Amino acid sequence: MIDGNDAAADGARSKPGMRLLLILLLALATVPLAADSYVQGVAARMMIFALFASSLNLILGYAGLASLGHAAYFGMGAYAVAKLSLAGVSNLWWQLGVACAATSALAAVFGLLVLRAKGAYLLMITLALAQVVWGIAYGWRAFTGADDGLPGIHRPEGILLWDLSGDVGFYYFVFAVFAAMIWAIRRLVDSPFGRVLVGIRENERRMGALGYHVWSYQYVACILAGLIAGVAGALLAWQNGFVGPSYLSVNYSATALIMVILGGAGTVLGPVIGAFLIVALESIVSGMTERWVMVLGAIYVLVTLFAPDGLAGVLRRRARATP
Amino acid sequence: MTALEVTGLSLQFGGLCALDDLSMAVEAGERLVILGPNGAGKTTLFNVISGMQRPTRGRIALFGQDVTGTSVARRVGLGLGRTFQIATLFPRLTVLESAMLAVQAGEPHRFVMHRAMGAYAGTRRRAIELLAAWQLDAKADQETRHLSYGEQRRVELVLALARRPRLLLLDEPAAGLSGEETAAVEAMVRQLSRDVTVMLIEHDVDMALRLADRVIVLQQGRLLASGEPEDIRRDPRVAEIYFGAGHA
Ligand SMILES: Nc1ncnc2c1ncn2[C@@H]1O[C@H](COP(=O)(O)OP(=O)(O)OP(=O)(O)O)[C@@H](O)[C@H]1O
Ligand SMILES: [Mg+2]
Repeated sequence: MIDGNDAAADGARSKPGMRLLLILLLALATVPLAADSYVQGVAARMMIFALFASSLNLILGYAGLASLGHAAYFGMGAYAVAKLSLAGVSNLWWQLGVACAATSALAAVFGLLVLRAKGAYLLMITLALAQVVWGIAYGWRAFTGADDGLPGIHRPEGILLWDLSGDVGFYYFVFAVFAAMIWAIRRLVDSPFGRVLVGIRENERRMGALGYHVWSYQYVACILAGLIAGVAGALLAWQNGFVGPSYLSVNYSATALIMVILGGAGTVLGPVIGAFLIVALESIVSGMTERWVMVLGAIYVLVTLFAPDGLAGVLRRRARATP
Repeated sequence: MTALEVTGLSLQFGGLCALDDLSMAVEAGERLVILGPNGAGKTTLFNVISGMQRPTRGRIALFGQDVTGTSVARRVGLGLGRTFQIATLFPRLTVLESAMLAVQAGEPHRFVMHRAMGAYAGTRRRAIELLAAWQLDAKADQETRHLSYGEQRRVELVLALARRPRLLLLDEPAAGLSGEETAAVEAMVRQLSRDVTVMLIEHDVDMALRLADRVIVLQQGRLLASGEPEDIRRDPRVAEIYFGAGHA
């Protein structure tokens, strides 16, 4: 019988992908029981960057819109909770709400500007806009602390009995947000909205001729991606207790891009795997900042040469070869 | 009823007049064939009618409504469907998924984010029916890029038909096809209900004239001739520029 449920470019609905995701979540859930606080910190960082990469993947992998400025949203979310925390607002929902509002507003403005551009111009304009935000954070000492950043951020108050100030409590908070958002993204990419994004990525002209309002879909995708990146940024600010201009830097944007490409754009699990690997690698090579950029560059080149559709693509081909 | 009316339509690319003060009308249910040499402005005319390019001057009315400045989506909503000269498909989606996207374009749930597209059984059923009606159901689960060129041209047509257009613009649907495949496309066009008005650009003159109620000939963006297929075949000017001197 006809069963058109699987398109090549999507791991979203594949059963092995689902199984892998569940195993991953199970493993993450047990980290605080089995590992020391350093490893736990790395695992939290992995999830935070996985969210960041997944948000970029929404526009890059699904809507087919490249961006070299995604850190603008990540940093915006981080600075938003930092400013609130330092102003004495300790309520979690207030902090998260403001971070979401600020990043989606930024994405709504940037979306208007960037969606006119295509291809390399899109990369340039997203980069330029993010550099403007970075420049403001770097230059406005009174508000953002300039290159010193904003240290001394406190984690927000807990929810009922759930205490976020301790490392274990915070870890499980990150875990919960991560799991919920990945689940939501999975739903989203399977939905009519998500499938339309894929259609636009595959053939914008045809989608237009079918009567879809291509621009609206891309615009909404930009805002959603900005919002999720903002949540990831907020989580990192709480995790580190610090925000600096580097959160907004092209370095962060490029890292997210490499995570998506390494794992496999246009799949739900790919960017998660990519982020986990890169963060793990980073904590091994840490301290060698100069070389770290080289390592990232090398990964990028190797992936584009040997696995252009990322690790998810490699896994998918494997799975197909051995049915 | 008039399906389409354009008046004084012009489109300039720099110094080039792709369309030059073109006026014409198409009656509902008519099969209108558009002939003309390469670069005559045939595809440009389709782009302007469908709203993908803005005319420099002139007006366009669809089913009596002025749509000159409106979006592509609005015109599709009024019943416009089109195919492209160069395959404009979803190479990495399956044929069924492509058809589902095409059907879904006209349905209110096209913006839904929280339910799986597969949960909309009606969309899926209509997509399957559509493919079955055009003998593509056997290919439903294949990725479009793995279909033969002839099959891809048929998918192109099927996607344009998914929203039951009242005015269908076909841009060289049989270009590059074998004799057999061309016959299949011709049969598809012939099978369309007379509720559908068809405008067809075609270089295969024999096929075009077999399908046409009326033919117009464009040259350098202008209307060179208009008439019944047999008149066009006999028109010496048309023979000169289109069939090549000595053909008639
Ligand atoms: N976007 C564009 N920019 C500049 N010139 C264009 C553009 N599109 C079309 N043209 C020019 O306009 C003229 C008409 O092109 P059009 O594609 O409409 O011709 P056509 O009749 O469809 O030809 P063919 O039979 O080769 O498909 C050509 O000279 C073409 O080069
Ligand atoms: Mg043409």
